[in-house]
Amino acid sequence: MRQPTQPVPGGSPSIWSRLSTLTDYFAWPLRTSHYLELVNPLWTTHKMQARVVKVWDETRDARTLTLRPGLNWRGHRAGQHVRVGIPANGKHYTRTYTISSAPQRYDDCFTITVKAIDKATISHHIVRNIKVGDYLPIGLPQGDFYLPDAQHIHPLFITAGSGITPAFSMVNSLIAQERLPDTCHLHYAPHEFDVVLGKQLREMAAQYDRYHLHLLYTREENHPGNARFSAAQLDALCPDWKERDVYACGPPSLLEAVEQCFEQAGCSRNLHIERFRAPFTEIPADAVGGKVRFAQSGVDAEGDSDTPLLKVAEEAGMNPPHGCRMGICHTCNTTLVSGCVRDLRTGEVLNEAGSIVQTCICAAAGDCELDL
Amino acid sequence: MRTHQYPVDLTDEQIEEFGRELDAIRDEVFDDRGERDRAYILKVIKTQRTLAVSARFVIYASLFFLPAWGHALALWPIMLSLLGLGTFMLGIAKILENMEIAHNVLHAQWDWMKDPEIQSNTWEWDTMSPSDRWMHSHNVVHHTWTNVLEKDLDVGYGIMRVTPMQPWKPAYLLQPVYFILLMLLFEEGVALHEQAIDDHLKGKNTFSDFKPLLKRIGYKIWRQVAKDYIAWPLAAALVAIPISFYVPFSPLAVFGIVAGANAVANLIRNRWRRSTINAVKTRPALPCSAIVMPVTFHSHPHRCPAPESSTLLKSGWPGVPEQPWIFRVTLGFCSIFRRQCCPFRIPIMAAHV
Repeated sequence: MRQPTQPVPGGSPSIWSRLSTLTDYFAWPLRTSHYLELVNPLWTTHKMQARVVKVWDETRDARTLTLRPGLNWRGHRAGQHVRVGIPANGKHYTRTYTISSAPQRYDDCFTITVKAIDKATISHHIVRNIKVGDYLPIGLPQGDFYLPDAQHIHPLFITAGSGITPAFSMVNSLIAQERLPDTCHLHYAPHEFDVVLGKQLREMAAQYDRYHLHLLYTREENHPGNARFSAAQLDALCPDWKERDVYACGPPSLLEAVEQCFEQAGCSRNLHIERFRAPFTEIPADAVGGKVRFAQSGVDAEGDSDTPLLKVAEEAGMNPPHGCRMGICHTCNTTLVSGCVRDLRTGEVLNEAGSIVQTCICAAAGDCELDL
Repeated sequence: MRTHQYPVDLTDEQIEEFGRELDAIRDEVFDDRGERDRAYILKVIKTQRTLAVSARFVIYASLFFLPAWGHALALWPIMLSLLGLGTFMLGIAKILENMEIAHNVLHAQWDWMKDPEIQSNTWEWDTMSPSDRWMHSHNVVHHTWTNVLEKDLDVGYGIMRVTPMQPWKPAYLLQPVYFILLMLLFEEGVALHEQAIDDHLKGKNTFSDFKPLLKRIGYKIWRQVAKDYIAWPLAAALVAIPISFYVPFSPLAVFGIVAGANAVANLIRNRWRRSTINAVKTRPALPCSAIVMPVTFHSHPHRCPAPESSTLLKSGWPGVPEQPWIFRVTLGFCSIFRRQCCPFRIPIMAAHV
């Protein structure tokens, strides 16, 4: 917004972007898009938003949101994820969710399926409070967890809990393209009633012979399949697993077991894994400083729990931006890449990647990495 | 009994207590933030943008009531009242943007929301001064050295004598004229309200030192001028050219009407900003946003080493004794800083909090 926009190298700009360069002279210091937003939030180009068009409860604690994305959306590949901005208690949070619908949807909408995790306020907020008609800021679809386009493969999906979403999207996409190969799917859930997207999965399994679904309930004692993932179980349910391309998504414990199993069998090459990335770093109980890494400068330093990060940077020979050196002017604001820092004024710990850090009044609380 | 070196008649306990009271206000404000505030700022922003764009179209609409059209409603009174309404709306929109939205956003007051659209380091405001330059001259210089003579450029803006401590010069005889000019051209004044420029006029640096700075300010000024005095009037004039074959009214006059309306809107804004700032800066009241934030430095020095390590606080500037920032600012708000102490004492201040 502040700098004159640079033309994108390569390719002439579209007629719309030429026109908006002109109309931006009327809208300065804002952009035309800021005024279009007043008419329809889906027409914006300075940020992308999606309108919640439907909410659907899958289980008692999982909900599917159908979102209509704005004009600049590009189609996703089945298995990719999208960043979603969630306002909760006045603050803006960003979370990443896998798109659970197939790209072949007829109405240009997409869905995300969110499970309320214990103690995670944001997923609870999505599952309980988001309503039809809300607008949520979204990013573009990203990620390299998708099926190859041209190659003919026989996939095996190993999923658990809300890790079902990429597999669901992929299988649906294959069905929509009418090229569903022989597919095996192991899905773990605590109980029968807990299976996210369970009804649709069972319907697909009943309708398509080539889709072999095995639902395994880890907490139902009297159920025959009540075992956690193991090589023996895999042998029993999908004997040819070593010849298949494997796509796994779920909680860390499952992925660890799967990785180990494939390593022992010597076929890790076939294994594709999508991990849930934790947005928060665990706060060390005894925060007594730690290693500080300045990502842009490539400088590493030691920071103790009382020394402001600005001082740590200066002592390491850097000259980062700063002003008042006491937390009023925000000249020193930078982004937390990872780790934890503590606000020396309040003792509050920042541990969410992407938080704004005032380096002059924050010190390391454990290891941390800053975008400086 | 005075046991400390500060120029106030308070015991250490009273100072501690004062700090605690200010901290309590701060905590109360911080704990209260939430969804209500987010809804408020989003509503103000939406209202402001709607008002601004409607104002522009009301100004355009007034052109259809010029007597030259010859229809029954084409009368000067109707045209002028519409034009006046549009201009007034635009002025209000600019005041809202500058004072209620941008000033606070640029103070980082809304950064806690982490909304990428409402952040101090990306917000650009509707005035000639670039945001980051204003953040420097206001957040850094003015709020670190509030009312400290020769440090705070906001004291007299470098052109007026507002305290007996400033030595008198014959040039100050024209002060009433400067004042009125500053009031009218406040926007331009703020854009050029730069320490570097002030230093240059005193011969402390060379032109090349702040040439990049001037370029940057120049770009912002150009875009502001392009919007209010070229784009909007020109669009109206271009539409007026074909119409002028049927309606005897010059497109140039149309250009002038729209540009004039925009200029008046800017004047309304300048006038408003100048008077609010006067009100804030000449009264011994404490604007909370400024004082609430840094109070913890005073009452919890063990938690924050910054003031001790800061060179800003130990300036050898003449007439500024070494004392914590919080006191300097508090005294500064009381009145223009005097060598030893100020006429309004801390207890009066506390009553104002």
